[in-house]
Amino acid sequence: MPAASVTERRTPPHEARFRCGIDIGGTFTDFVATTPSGTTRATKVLTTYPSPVDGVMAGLAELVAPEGLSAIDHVVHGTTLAANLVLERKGAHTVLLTTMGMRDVLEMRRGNRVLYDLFFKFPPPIVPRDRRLEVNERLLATGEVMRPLEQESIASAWRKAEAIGAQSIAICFLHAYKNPIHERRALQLLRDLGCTLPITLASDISGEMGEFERTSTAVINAYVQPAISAYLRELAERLNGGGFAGDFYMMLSHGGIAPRGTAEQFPVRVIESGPAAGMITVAELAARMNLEHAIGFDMGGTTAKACLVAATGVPLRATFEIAQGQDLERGTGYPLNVPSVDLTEVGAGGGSIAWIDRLGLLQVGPRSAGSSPGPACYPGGGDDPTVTDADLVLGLLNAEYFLGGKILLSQKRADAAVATVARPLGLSQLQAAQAIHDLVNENMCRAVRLHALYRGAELARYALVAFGGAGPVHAGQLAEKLGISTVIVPRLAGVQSAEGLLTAPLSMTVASSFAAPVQNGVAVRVASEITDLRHRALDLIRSGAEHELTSFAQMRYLGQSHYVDVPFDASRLVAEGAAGLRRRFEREYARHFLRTNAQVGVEIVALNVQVTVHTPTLAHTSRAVGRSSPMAVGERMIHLPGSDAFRARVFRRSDLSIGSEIVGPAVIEDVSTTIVVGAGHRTVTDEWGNIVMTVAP
Amino acid sequence: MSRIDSVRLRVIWGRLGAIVEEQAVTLLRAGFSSIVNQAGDFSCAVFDGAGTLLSQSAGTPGQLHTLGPVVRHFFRRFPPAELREGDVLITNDPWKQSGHLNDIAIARPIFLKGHLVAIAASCCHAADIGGRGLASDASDVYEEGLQIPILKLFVGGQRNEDLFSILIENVRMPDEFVGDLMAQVSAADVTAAKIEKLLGEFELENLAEVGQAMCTLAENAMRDAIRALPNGTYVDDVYFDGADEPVQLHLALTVEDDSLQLDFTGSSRQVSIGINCVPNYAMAYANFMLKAVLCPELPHNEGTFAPVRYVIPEGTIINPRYPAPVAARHLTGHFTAFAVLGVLARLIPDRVMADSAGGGSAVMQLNGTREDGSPFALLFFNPGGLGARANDDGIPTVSFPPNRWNIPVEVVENILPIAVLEKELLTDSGGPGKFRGGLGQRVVFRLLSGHCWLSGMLERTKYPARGFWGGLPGCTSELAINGETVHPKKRHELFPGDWVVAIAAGGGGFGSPKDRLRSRLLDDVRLGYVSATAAIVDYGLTTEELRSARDAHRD
Repeated sequence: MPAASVTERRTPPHEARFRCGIDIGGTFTDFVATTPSGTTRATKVLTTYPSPVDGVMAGLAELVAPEGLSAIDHVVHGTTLAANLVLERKGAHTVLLTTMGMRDVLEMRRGNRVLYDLFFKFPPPIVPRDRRLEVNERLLATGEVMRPLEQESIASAWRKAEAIGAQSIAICFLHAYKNPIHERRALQLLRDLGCTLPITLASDISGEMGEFERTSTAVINAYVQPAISAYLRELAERLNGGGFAGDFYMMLSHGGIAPRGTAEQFPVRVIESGPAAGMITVAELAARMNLEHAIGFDMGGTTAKACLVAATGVPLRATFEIAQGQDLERGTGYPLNVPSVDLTEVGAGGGSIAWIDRLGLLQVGPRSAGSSPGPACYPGGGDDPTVTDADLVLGLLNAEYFLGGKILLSQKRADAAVATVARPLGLSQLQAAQAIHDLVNENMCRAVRLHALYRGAELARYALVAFGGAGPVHAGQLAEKLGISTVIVPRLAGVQSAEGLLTAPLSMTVASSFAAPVQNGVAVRVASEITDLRHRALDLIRSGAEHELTSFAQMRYLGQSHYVDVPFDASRLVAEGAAGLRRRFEREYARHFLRTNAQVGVEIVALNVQVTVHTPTLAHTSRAVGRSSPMAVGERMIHLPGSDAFRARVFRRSDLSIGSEIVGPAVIEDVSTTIVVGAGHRTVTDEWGNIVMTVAP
Repeated sequence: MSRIDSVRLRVIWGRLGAIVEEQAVTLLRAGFSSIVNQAGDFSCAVFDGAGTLLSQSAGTPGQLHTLGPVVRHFFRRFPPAELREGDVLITNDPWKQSGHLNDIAIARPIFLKGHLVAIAASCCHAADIGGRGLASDASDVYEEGLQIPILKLFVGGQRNEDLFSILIENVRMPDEFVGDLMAQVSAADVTAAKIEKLLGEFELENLAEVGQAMCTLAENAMRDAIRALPNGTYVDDVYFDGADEPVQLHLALTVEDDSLQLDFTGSSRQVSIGINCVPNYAMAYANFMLKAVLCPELPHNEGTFAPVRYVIPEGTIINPRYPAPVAARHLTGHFTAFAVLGVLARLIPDRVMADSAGGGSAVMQLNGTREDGSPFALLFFNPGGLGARANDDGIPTVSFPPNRWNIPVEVVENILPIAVLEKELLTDSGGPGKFRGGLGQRVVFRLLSGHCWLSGMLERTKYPARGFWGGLPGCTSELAINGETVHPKKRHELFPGDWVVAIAAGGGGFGSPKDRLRSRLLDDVRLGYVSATAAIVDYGLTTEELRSARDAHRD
C-alpha cells in the first residue's frame, strides 16, 4: 500500500470522520454518530439474537452508509450482555478458590432476609458448593501472613478444577484487600501448572473489606468473562473486517469509558453501563444549560431509574446489586463491589401491571409484563392491564404512531384490559386508567423523594430530565408531585444511552479499604496510597497521559457506621496534614448534618480515586432562538388524573424548530417517546433542540 | 365510602406510608451513632388525633406492638385537653412500650387550626441507659437503668431542662443519647409539617375519616384471612432453655369466625433474671407471625390486629410483675412467634414453615482489651438456619424472626484480635424432611492476643427447632471453649490461644424425609448438606442408590 494513502487515512477531511456510540439493549440497539462539527446521526435497530453483533453491523452500515466503517475514528460500546448472562444464569462453569474454612461465604450471605415473606428465596450461589475449593493459606487482618500459601493445595485444587471441567476461575482469599500476595502467588502457581483458563483475582477488582461482597464480585467477573471476551473479540474482528481502524472503547458502570482490553479483563465493570450512559448525558446537559442540579429520570418498560446529577458529574456508589427480588430490596441479589452511578430503581415502568389487592384497592407494579408478553395493547401482548395500556386509554399515546408507527397498538385490547380492574372498583374505564397513571406516578414520587432524602437533596431546586420510552409521558405529572417546576426532554431522548457513550470521559475509578484514624502522620500514608491507586487506575485505562485526579476519602466520627464522602486535593495533602483532613471532613459533615463534634476522633474507612484522561465534548449545535408557533398535526382528547378531559393539540417533534412554543394541553409525538404537556404547562424548544417544559402554575 | 373514593384513599394511604418512611430516614440520618449501629432497631408511626395508629414504618417485628399502646398510655396521662402545639412526650417504661429501658418512645401532637389532628411517634433503641448496661443478669428493673415515667420532654416548644439534666446525669454516653433523642424529635417535626401539607392538598379537616376507612379495610382483610381458618381451639407448647430451668410457653389459640384469641395461660412463671418479657413484646412477635402467615403484604395499622385478643396471665414469663428484670426480653419474646407457628402449621400447613433456629443462633458479646490496653466490644452474630417451608427447603444461616445483618469476618477481625478459622455450613444441621431445614453453621475462632470476656446468648442448646408434618428437628446449638462445652448464657474469660467453637442451630424439616425427592437428596449428599450416613438413616436412601448416584456423577 503506497504511503500516501496511509497518510490520507490518518488525516481525513474533517467533516467525514465519525465518533460512534453503540448501545445494545434488550429490545433495541441504538446508534449515535457525530462529526467534530456537530452533525449528529442516530438510528435504532432491533437487537438480534443469538448474535447481537449482526444487528450492530447492520445498524452501523446504515448509519455511515455512504462513508463506510473506515470513516469511524472512535467507537464506544455499551451493552446489557453481561447483565443478561447473570440474570439468565448462562455464564461459564466457574470454580472458586477460597481460604480454608471459608468456602460457604457465597451461600451464607449476610444473615438478612425479607421481613414478612416466609417463602422468600435468594438467587442460587453463582458457584455451587462442590465447585468452591479450599486452599490452605491465611492472612491476618493486618495483611501479615498467618499461614503461608501451601503449594500442594493449589495443585490439588487445579486437579479438581480440571476434573470438574472448569471454564473460568475466581480466587478470593480472606484479607486479600489488604495484601494480595497469596492471590497473586496462587495465580502464578496455576499458570505454572499449565492452567490457561481466565482467572479473576478478587484483589484486582475490589479493594474493599467484606468477604461476601468481594467474593460475589470476583465470581461474577469470572462467570461472565469467557462469553464477554469472545463477544468483544468477535465484534472487534467484524468491525475491523468492515474497514474500521479506529479506537474501540467500552462503557463502564461508573460512567467512564476504558479500552476494550480492560472490559475483557473486568467485565463485571460493564454490568450497569446502560443506565450509567443515560445519566451522564444528564450531567453534560446540566452543565451546558447552566443548571446546578438535575434529576435524571429514565422510565422504561419494567423499571424507572432516577439519579441526582450535578453539573459537575454523576454521583457514584461503591456497591450495587444485580438479580434482586421483585421489590428490589437491598440485600436480596448478588452484590457487586464495583463503582457505578448512584441511582435508585423502582418497579414502575410502561409494563407495570395494575391489580386489585386484598384490601380491594388498586395497586400498580412491581410485577411487569416486560417486553414479553408486553402490555395488552402490544401485538402479542398479555391480558393484564399495564401503565402503557392506561396511557393509551387516556389518549396520551397514539396507537398508530408508537415507535414512529413501527408497532401498531390495539386500542380495543387496552380498553378490555383496563376494564378488568375498572369493573370491580366500580369505576369507568377512564377513571381506572387515570388511577393507574396516577398511582404509578405516586410510586415513582415516593422512590425519588426517599432517594433525595437519603442524600440530603432539596428537590425543589432540581430540574427533571426525562427520557426512556415512558419518561416524557409521565414527567409533567411527576414533577408536579415532586414540587419541581422544570422538565427537560433532551433532543435525543430516544437514544439517550447511545448519546451518553459519546459524552463519557476516558476514566477509571478505584477504591481501597484504607482505614486509619486521622492523627499525625496519616496524611503521608494517605498520599502514598493515593499514588498507588492512581497508578492502578492508569494501568486499567492503558494510559499514562496527562490526567485529572479526583480523590475522596470516606470518613466518619469514631463509632459511627455511616460515613460521608470527603473530597480532597491530593497535591496539598501532605502540606495540610491530618488537621487539614479533619477540617475537610467537618466541612462536609456540617453540610449534611448541620453540626460537628469537636470532642470525637475522626477516621478514614476507605479511599477512592478517579483519574480522567479527557472528557470529550459532544458538539451540540446551538442555534439562535426565535419565537414560533408550530403547526399541530391534529387534535385528540386526553385525560389526566384529577382533571376533566381536554382537547389537546398533537404535534410531531420533528416539526418543531428552535424556539417553538407550545401551551398545554398538548401532546408532542417523538419517534421513541411521547411528551405530554398538561393544562397550564408550557414548552419551548431551546437552542440545543431540547424541549423545556415549565410546570409551575 | 363511595367507589370513586377508593382511588383517593389509596393515594392518601400511600402518602401516609411514605411520610413514616421519610420520618424513619430522617431519624436514621440525623441520629448520632446508636441508631445507625443498631440499624433497623426503631420504628416511626403516625396516628390520628384520637390516637388510632394509621401507618408505621417497617422495622423490627419487636416494634409491632409498641407505638399503639404507648400512645394510649400517653393519652391516659395527658388527655388531649392538656396537650398543646410544641409538646413532646417521652417514656421508656418497659411495660408501656417495647420491653426494656433501652427503648425510648416519644410522641409529638400535631395541631391544625387549634385542633389535635395527628400524632407523630417513634421508638428508638439507646445503646446505654445507665444501670448495669444491657445484660441479662440484673435482679430487678431498677438495676437495669434509668426509668423515665411519662413526661413532657418539650413543653410548648421549650426543652424541659430539668428532665434533660436528669437524663444527661444518668447515662454513660450523654452526647450520643441526647443526639439520638433530638433526632427523634426533629424527625417528628418533619412529619408534622408533611401531615399539614397532606391535609391541605386533599382539603381535609383531619385524618379521622380517612383513618377510619384505612383501619376498616385492614381489619376486614385480616378478618377474611381468619375466617378461612376452621373454628375451634388449638393448643401448642413451646419449650426452650430459659435460665437454668427450661421454660414452657403454652398457647391455646381459638378461632371464632373472624376473630382470634391467643391465651397463654399455663406458661412458665417469671424468672429471677432479665429474660422476662413484657406482654407488648410477646404480643409483637405473635403478631409478626400472624401477619407473616395470614397477610404478609398488608400495610400495618390499628385495624390489622383488631380481631386478635390476648390473654396473658400476670406473673408468667411473658407478663412479669414490676419490677422484674426484663433487659434481655428478646431471648423469650421470639418464642411466641414459634408458638403461633405451631398452631397455624396444623390449620394451614401449606402456608407455613417449620421452626427456625431463631435464638439458637450463635450470638456472643465479646468485650475485652487488646495487647496495647485499648478496649474493644462487639456483638458477634452468627445466625442459624430457617425452618423448611411448606414448598421448599429452609434458607441457611439467616436471621429470624428479626431481620438483621451480620458483620463480615474481615470486619470482625479488624475490630478485635481474633482469627476466625472456620465459618461453614454445618452438615446434617438442617432438620430432615421432604423439605429440609436450613443449615446452621459452625464457627471456630481463636483469641490471638489481649484479653476477652465472652458473654454467650445462645438458646436451643437443649430444645431444637421443631420439624412439622413428619419433618424432623434441626440440630441444637452449642458453645465450647478449648474443646469443652460451656454454659451458653454465661460470661467466660478468654486468654490468648484459647479457641471457641460455636454451633448455630439448624431449622426444622417439613414433611416426611422419606418423601424427599431423590434427586434433591442426592444433590444434598454431593454438596455435603447431608452426610451419606444421614441420607441412609434419616431419609431411607439405600446404599445401592447412593453408589449408583456416585458412579453417575463420576462419569
